Amino acid sequence: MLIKDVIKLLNLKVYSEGDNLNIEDAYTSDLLSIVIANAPKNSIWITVQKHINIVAVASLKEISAIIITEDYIPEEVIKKAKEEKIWLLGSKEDSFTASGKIFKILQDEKIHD
Amino acid sequence: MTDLHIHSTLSPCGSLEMSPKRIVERAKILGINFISITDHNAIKNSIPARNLSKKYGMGYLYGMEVQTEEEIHILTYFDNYSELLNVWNMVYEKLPDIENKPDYFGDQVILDEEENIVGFEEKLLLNSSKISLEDLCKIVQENNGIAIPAHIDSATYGIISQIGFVPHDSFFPFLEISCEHKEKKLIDELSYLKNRKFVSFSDAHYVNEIGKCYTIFELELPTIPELLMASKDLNKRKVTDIARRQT
Repeated sequence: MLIKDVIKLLNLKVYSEGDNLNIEDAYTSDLLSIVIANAPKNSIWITVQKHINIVAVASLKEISAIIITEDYIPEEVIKKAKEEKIWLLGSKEDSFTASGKIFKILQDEKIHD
Repeated sequence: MTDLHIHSTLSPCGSLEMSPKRIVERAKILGINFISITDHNAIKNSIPARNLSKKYGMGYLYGMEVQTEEEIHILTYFDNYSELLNVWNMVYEKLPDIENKPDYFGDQVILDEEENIVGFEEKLLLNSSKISLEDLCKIVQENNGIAIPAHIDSATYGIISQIGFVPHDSFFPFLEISCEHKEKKLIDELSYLKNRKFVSFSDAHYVNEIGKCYTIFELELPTIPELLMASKDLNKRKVTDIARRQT
Protein backbone atom coordinates (compact mmCIF):
# COMPACT_ATOMS: atom_id res chain seq x y z
CA MET A 1 0.00 0.00 0.00
CA LEU A 2 1.15 3.50 -0.71
CA ILE A 3 1.80 5.68 2.30
CA LYS A 4 0.09 8.60 0.59
CA ASP A 5 -3.12 6.56 0.31
CA VAL A 6 -2.97 5.64 3.99
CA ILE A 7 -2.44 9.27 4.97
CA LYS A 8 -5.43 10.28 2.89
CA LEU A 9 -7.80 7.48 3.89
CA LEU A 10 -7.08 7.81 7.60
CA ASN A 11 -6.84 11.60 7.49
CA LEU A 12 -3.43 11.55 9.18
CA LYS A 13 -1.35 14.55 10.13
CA VAL A 14 2.21 14.29 8.82
CA TYR A 15 4.85 15.22 11.41
CA SER A 16 7.84 13.67 9.65
CA GLU A 17 8.32 12.36 6.11
CA GLY A 18 10.02 9.03 5.69
CA ASP A 19 11.96 7.65 2.75
CA ASN A 20 9.82 4.59 2.10
CA LEU A 21 6.71 5.23 0.01
CA ASN A 22 5.36 1.70 -0.37
CA ILE A 23 4.54 -0.27 2.75
CA GLU A 24 3.75 -3.97 3.00
CA ASP A 25 2.56 -4.72 6.51
CA ALA A 26 1.24 -3.27 9.77
CA TYR A 27 1.54 -3.91 13.49
CA THR A 28 -0.22 -2.60 16.61
CA SER A 29 1.23 -2.63 20.14
CA ASP A 30 2.21 -0.16 22.85
CA LEU A 31 4.80 -2.28 24.64
CA LEU A 32 8.13 -1.64 22.98
CA SER A 33 9.64 -4.89 24.22
CA ILE A 34 6.93 -6.75 22.30
CA VAL A 35 7.38 -4.56 19.23
CA ILE A 36 11.11 -5.35 19.27
CA ALA A 37 10.28 -9.04 19.45
CA ASN A 38 7.51 -9.20 16.84
CA ALA A 39 7.01 -6.24 14.53
CA PRO A 40 7.51 -6.99 10.82
CA LYS A 41 9.84 -4.83 8.75
CA ASN A 42 8.66 -2.34 6.15
CA SER A 43 5.49 -1.87 8.17
CA ILE A 44 3.27 0.77 9.68
CA TRP A 45 3.28 0.62 13.48
CA ILE A 46 0.21 1.90 15.31
CA THR A 47 0.69 2.93 18.94
CA VAL A 48 -0.19 5.39 21.69
CA GLN A 49 3.38 5.24 22.97
CA LYS A 50 5.17 8.52 22.29
CA HIS A 51 8.37 8.13 24.27
CA ILE A 52 11.39 8.98 22.12
CA ASN A 53 12.50 5.34 22.19
CA ILE A 54 9.78 4.59 19.59
CA VAL A 55 12.00 6.08 16.86
CA ALA A 56 14.98 3.94 17.87
CA VAL A 57 12.76 0.84 17.94
CA ALA A 58 11.36 1.68 14.50
CA SER A 59 14.89 2.09 13.15
CA LEU A 60 16.02 -1.15 14.71
CA LYS A 61 13.08 -3.11 13.28
CA GLU A 62 13.14 -1.28 9.91
CA ILE A 63 9.60 -0.07 10.51
CA SER A 64 8.78 2.55 7.87
CA ALA A 65 6.03 4.55 9.54
CA ILE A 66 4.63 5.19 13.00
CA ILE A 67 1.03 6.27 13.55
CA ILE A 68 0.50 7.80 16.97
CA THR A 69 -3.14 7.67 17.98
CA GLU A 70 -2.91 10.49 20.50
CA ASP A 71 -3.26 14.24 20.15
CA TYR A 72 0.12 15.37 21.27
CA ILE A 73 3.56 14.35 19.99
CA PRO A 74 6.68 15.72 21.72
CA GLU A 75 8.93 17.94 19.58
CA GLU A 76 12.04 15.81 20.23
CA VAL A 77 10.27 12.71 18.87
CA ILE A 78 9.42 14.57 15.66
CA LYS A 79 13.02 15.76 15.32
CA LYS A 80 14.39 12.26 15.81
CA ALA A 81 11.92 10.74 13.30
CA LYS A 82 13.02 13.32 10.69
CA GLU A 83 16.68 12.43 11.30
CA GLU A 84 15.93 8.74 10.88
CA LYS A 85 13.70 9.35 7.83
CA ILE A 86 10.74 7.56 9.37
CA TRP A 87 7.17 8.60 8.70
CA LEU A 88 5.64 10.00 11.87
CA LEU A 89 1.89 10.36 11.52
CA GLY A 90 -0.80 11.52 13.90
CA SER A 91 -4.31 10.09 14.00
CA LYS A 92 -7.35 11.50 15.76
CA GLU A 93 -8.86 8.03 15.89
CA ASP A 94 -8.04 5.30 18.39
CA SER A 95 -5.67 2.41 17.68
CA PHE A 96 -8.54 -0.03 17.06
CA THR A 97 -10.12 2.12 14.38
CA ALA A 98 -6.84 3.05 12.70
CA SER A 99 -5.71 -0.60 12.73
CA GLY A 100 -9.06 -1.73 11.31
CA LYS A 101 -8.85 0.68 8.41
CA ILE A 102 -5.29 -0.36 7.56
CA PHE A 103 -6.23 -4.03 7.87
CA LYS A 104 -8.97 -3.44 5.31
CA ILE A 105 -6.57 -1.70 2.90
CA LEU A 106 -4.17 -4.66 3.16
CA GLN A 107 -7.00 -7.20 2.69
CA ASP A 108 -8.34 -5.37 -0.38
CA GLU A 109 -4.86 -5.35 -1.91
CA LYS A 110 -4.57 -9.12 -1.42
CA ILE A 111 -7.89 -9.69 -3.17
CA HIS A 112 -6.83 -7.58 -6.15
CA ASP A 113 -3.41 -9.21 -6.45
CA MET B 1 20.62 -3.57 55.16
CA THR B 2 18.49 -1.31 53.04
CA ASP B 3 14.98 -1.88 51.66
CA LEU B 4 13.67 1.20 49.87
CA HIS B 5 10.69 -0.32 48.09
CA ILE B 6 7.85 -1.19 50.47
CA HIS B 7 4.10 -0.72 49.92
CA SER B 8 1.77 0.21 52.76
CA THR B 9 -2.00 0.00 53.29
CA LEU B 10 -2.32 3.05 51.05
CA SER B 11 -1.44 1.03 47.94
CA PRO B 12 -4.60 -0.82 46.88
CA CYS B 13 -2.52 -3.94 46.29
CA GLY B 14 -0.80 -3.62 49.68
CA SER B 15 -1.94 -5.86 52.53
CA LEU B 16 -4.11 -4.23 55.19
CA GLU B 17 -1.51 -5.38 57.69
CA MET B 18 1.07 -3.06 56.11
CA SER B 19 0.66 -0.18 58.53
CA PRO B 20 3.65 2.12 58.94
CA LYS B 21 4.00 0.66 62.47
CA ARG B 22 4.06 -2.98 61.33
CA ILE B 23 6.49 -2.17 58.54
CA VAL B 24 8.94 -0.37 60.79
CA GLU B 25 8.71 -3.00 63.55
CA ARG B 26 9.21 -5.85 61.11
CA ALA B 27 12.17 -4.12 59.46
CA LYS B 28 13.74 -3.55 62.88
CA ILE B 29 13.44 -7.25 63.77
CA LEU B 30 15.09 -8.21 60.47
CA GLY B 31 18.02 -5.87 61.08
CA ILE B 32 17.07 -3.54 58.24
CA ASN B 33 18.25 -0.06 59.16
CA PHE B 34 17.24 2.04 56.15
CA ILE B 35 13.75 1.96 54.61
CA SER B 36 11.27 3.86 52.48
CA ILE B 37 7.56 3.45 51.91
CA THR B 38 6.86 3.78 48.20
CA ASP B 39 3.14 3.69 47.55
CA HIS B 40 1.74 3.95 44.03
CA ASN B 41 1.34 7.65 43.18
CA ALA B 42 0.72 8.35 46.88
CA ILE B 43 2.51 9.66 49.96
CA LYS B 44 0.04 9.97 52.81
CA ASN B 45 1.53 7.24 54.99
CA SER B 46 5.02 8.77 54.72
CA ILE B 47 5.09 11.01 57.77
CA PRO B 48 4.08 8.35 60.31
CA ALA B 49 6.55 5.95 58.70
CA ARG B 50 9.31 8.51 58.90
CA ASN B 51 8.51 9.40 62.55
CA LEU B 52 8.40 5.76 63.59
CA SER B 53 11.65 5.00 61.76
CA LYS B 54 13.30 7.82 63.65
CA LYS B 55 11.98 6.43 66.96
CA TYR B 56 13.43 3.03 66.15
CA GLY B 57 16.75 4.52 65.11
CA MET B 58 16.38 3.67 61.44
CA GLY B 59 17.15 5.71 58.35
CA TYR B 60 14.17 6.79 56.25
CA LEU B 61 13.81 8.38 52.81
CA TYR B 62 10.58 9.98 51.66
CA GLY B 63 9.49 7.91 48.69
CA MET B 64 6.80 7.26 46.10
CA GLU B 65 6.48 4.80 43.22
CA VAL B 66 5.18 6.81 40.29
CA GLN B 67 3.48 5.22 37.29
CA THR B 68 4.30 7.40 34.29
CA GLU B 69 2.17 7.76 31.17
CA GLU B 70 4.34 5.09 29.52
CA GLU B 71 3.15 2.78 32.35
CA ILE B 72 6.65 2.61 33.77
CA HIS B 73 7.09 2.31 37.54
CA ILE B 74 9.70 4.77 38.77
CA LEU B 75 10.82 4.91 42.40
CA THR B 76 11.42 8.46 43.58
CA TYR B 77 13.18 9.51 46.80
CA PHE B 78 13.71 12.74 48.70
CA ASP B 79 15.37 13.89 51.92
CA ASN B 80 12.58 16.33 52.74
CA TYR B 81 8.82 15.96 52.90
CA SER B 82 8.29 19.32 51.16
CA GLU B 83 10.21 18.04 48.12
CA LEU B 84 8.19 14.84 47.99
CA LEU B 85 5.01 16.86 48.37
CA ASN B 86 5.93 19.11 45.40
CA VAL B 87 6.42 16.14 43.13
CA TRP B 88 3.38 14.28 44.44
CA ASN B 89 1.17 17.33 43.81
CA MET B 90 2.13 17.25 40.14
CA VAL B 91 1.77 13.48 39.84
CA TYR B 92 -1.59 13.41 41.64
CA GLU B 93 -3.03 16.31 39.66
CA LYS B 94 -2.34 14.37 36.45
CA LEU B 95 -3.74 11.12 37.80
CA PRO B 96 -7.07 10.36 36.06
CA ASP B 97 -10.11 11.11 38.18
CA ILE B 98 -11.30 7.53 38.49
CA GLU B 99 -12.76 6.35 41.76
CA ASN B 100 -11.18 3.34 43.46
CA LYS B 101 -13.35 0.23 43.69
CA PRO B 102 -12.07 -1.33 46.92
CA ASP B 103 -13.82 -4.67 46.26
CA TYR B 104 -11.87 -5.03 43.05
CA PHE B 105 -8.55 -3.24 43.60
CA GLY B 106 -8.31 -3.16 47.41
CA ASP B 107 -8.63 -0.42 50.01
CA GLN B 108 -6.38 2.64 50.02
CA VAL B 109 -6.05 3.34 53.73
CA ILE B 110 -4.29 6.28 55.37
CA LEU B 111 -3.10 5.51 58.91
CA ASP B 112 -1.38 7.32 61.75
CA GLU B 113 1.53 6.10 63.88
CA GLU B 114 -0.80 4.12 66.17
CA GLU B 115 -2.60 2.39 63.28
CA ASN B 116 -5.73 4.53 63.59
CA ILE B 117 -7.50 5.07 60.31
CA VAL B 118 -7.14 8.71 59.29
CA GLY B 119 -8.89 8.41 55.94
CA PHE B 120 -9.19 6.67 52.61
CA GLU B 121 -7.74 7.76 49.29
CA GLU B 122 -10.72 7.92 46.92
CA LYS B 123 -8.93 8.21 43.57
CA LEU B 124 -7.67 4.96 42.08
CA LEU B 125 -3.91 4.99 42.65
CA LEU B 126 -3.12 1.97 40.51
CA ASN B 127 -3.11 3.99 37.33
CA SER B 128 -0.80 6.04 35.14
CA SER B 129 -0.29 9.69 35.87
CA LYS B 130 -0.33 11.76 32.70
CA ILE B 131 3.32 12.65 33.21
CA SER B 132 6.08 11.50 30.87
CA LEU B 133 9.19 9.71 32.08
CA GLU B 134 11.33 12.69 31.02
CA ASP B 135 9.14 15.24 32.81
CA LEU B 136 9.07 13.14 35.96
CA CYS B 137 12.87 12.84 36.02
CA LYS B 138 13.11 16.59 35.55
CA ILE B 139 10.83 17.52 38.44
CA VAL B 140 12.43 14.92 40.70
CA GLN B 141 15.85 16.44 40.02
CA GLU B 142 14.52 19.96 40.50
CA ASN B 143 13.34 18.86 43.92
CA ASN B 144 16.73 17.37 44.86
CA GLY B 145 15.46 13.82 44.60
CA ILE B 146 16.59 10.72 42.77
CA ALA B 147 14.68 8.43 40.42
CA ILE B 148 15.23 4.69 40.13
CA PRO B 149 13.38 2.59 37.55
CA ALA B 150 11.66 -0.24 39.45
CA HIS B 151 12.01 -3.97 38.65
CA ILE B 152 13.55 -3.30 35.24
CA ASP B 153 13.60 -7.03 34.46
CA SER B 154 9.84 -7.37 35.00
CA ALA B 155 7.49 -8.21 32.13
CA THR B 156 5.05 -5.57 33.36
CA TYR B 157 5.51 -1.92 34.32
CA GLY B 158 9.31 -2.12 33.96
CA ILE B 159 11.21 0.43 31.89
CA ILE B 160 12.43 -2.26 29.49
CA SER B 161 9.04 -3.92 28.99
CA GLN B 162 7.39 -0.55 28.31
CA ILE B 163 9.90 1.41 26.25
CA GLY B 164 12.22 -1.35 25.04
CA PHE B 165 15.47 -0.27 26.66
CA VAL B 166 16.92 2.10 29.25
CA PRO B 167 17.64 5.41 27.48
CA HIS B 168 21.41 5.81 27.58
CA ASP B 169 21.35 9.50 28.48
CA SER B 170 18.89 9.09 31.34
CA PHE B 171 19.67 10.24 34.83
CA PHE B 172 19.26 7.13 36.96
CA PRO B 173 21.88 6.66 39.68
CA PHE B 174 20.66 3.09 40.15
CA LEU B 175 18.43 0.55 38.43
CA GLU B 176 16.33 -1.79 40.55
CA ILE B 177 16.21 -5.46 39.69
CA SER B 178 13.56 -7.66 41.24
CA CYS B 179 14.26 -10.25 43.92
CA GLU B 180 13.96 -13.09 41.42
CA HIS B 181 16.55 -11.79 38.98
CA LYS B 182 20.33 -11.89 38.94
CA GLU B 183 22.43 -8.88 38.03
CA LYS B 184 24.92 -11.02 36.12
CA LYS B 185 22.22 -12.71 34.06
CA LEU B 186 20.70 -9.35 33.18
CA ILE B 187 24.04 -7.93 32.05
CA ASP B 188 24.71 -11.08 30.02
CA GLU B 189 21.42 -10.48 28.23
CA LEU B 190 21.71 -6.70 27.99
CA SER B 191 25.37 -5.82 27.80
CA TYR B 192 24.67 -2.08 27.40
CA LEU B 193 23.76 -2.07 31.11
CA LYS B 194 27.18 -3.26 32.24
CA ASN B 195 28.30 0.13 33.57
CA ARG B 196 25.08 0.73 35.49
CA LYS B 197 24.73 0.41 39.25
CA PHE B 198 22.09 -2.02 40.43
CA VAL B 199 20.08 -2.24 43.61
CA SER B 200 17.48 -4.74 44.74
CA PHE B 201 14.62 -4.04 47.13
CA SER B 202 11.71 -6.19 48.24
CA ASP B 203 8.70 -4.47 46.60
CA ALA B 204 6.90 -5.89 49.65
CA HIS B 205 3.11 -5.87 49.63
CA TYR B 206 2.84 -8.24 52.63
CA VAL B 207 4.60 -8.19 55.98
CA ASN B 208 6.50 -11.42 55.32
CA GLU B 209 7.94 -9.95 52.13
CA ILE B 210 9.72 -7.03 53.81
CA GLY B 211 13.45 -7.40 53.26
CA LYS B 212 12.91 -10.42 50.96
CA CYS B 213 15.78 -8.93 49.06
CA TYR B 214 17.83 -5.92 50.02
CA THR B 215 20.89 -3.87 49.22
CA ILE B 216 23.89 -3.23 51.41
CA PHE B 217 25.33 0.25 50.99
CA GLU B 218 28.46 1.79 52.44
CA LEU B 219 27.14 5.19 53.56
CA GLU B 220 27.86 7.71 56.31
CA LEU B 221 24.21 8.82 56.51
CA PRO B 222 20.90 7.62 55.02
CA THR B 223 20.51 10.55 52.62
CA ILE B 224 20.24 11.39 48.91
CA PRO B 225 23.72 12.98 48.62
CA GLU B 226 25.23 9.85 50.19
CA LEU B 227 23.36 7.58 47.77
CA LEU B 228 24.54 9.73 44.87
CA MET B 229 28.12 9.31 46.05
CA ALA B 230 27.61 5.55 46.31
CA SER B 231 26.28 5.49 42.75
CA LYS B 232 29.62 6.91 41.61
CA ASP B 233 31.87 5.05 44.08
CA LEU B 234 32.99 8.36 45.56
CA ASN B 235 34.58 8.93 48.98
CA LYS B 236 34.36 5.26 49.93
CA ARG B 237 30.58 5.23 49.50
CA LYS B 238 29.44 2.26 47.49
CA VAL B 239 26.99 -0.56 46.89
CA THR B 240 28.57 -3.48 48.73
CA ASP B 241 26.09 -6.19 47.84
CA ILE B 242 22.57 -7.02 46.73
CA ALA B 243 21.15 -10.10 48.35
CA ARG B 244 18.15 -12.27 49.02
CA ARG B 245 17.12 -13.04 52.57
CA GLN B 246 17.80 -16.63 53.57
CA THR B 247 14.64 -18.07 55.09
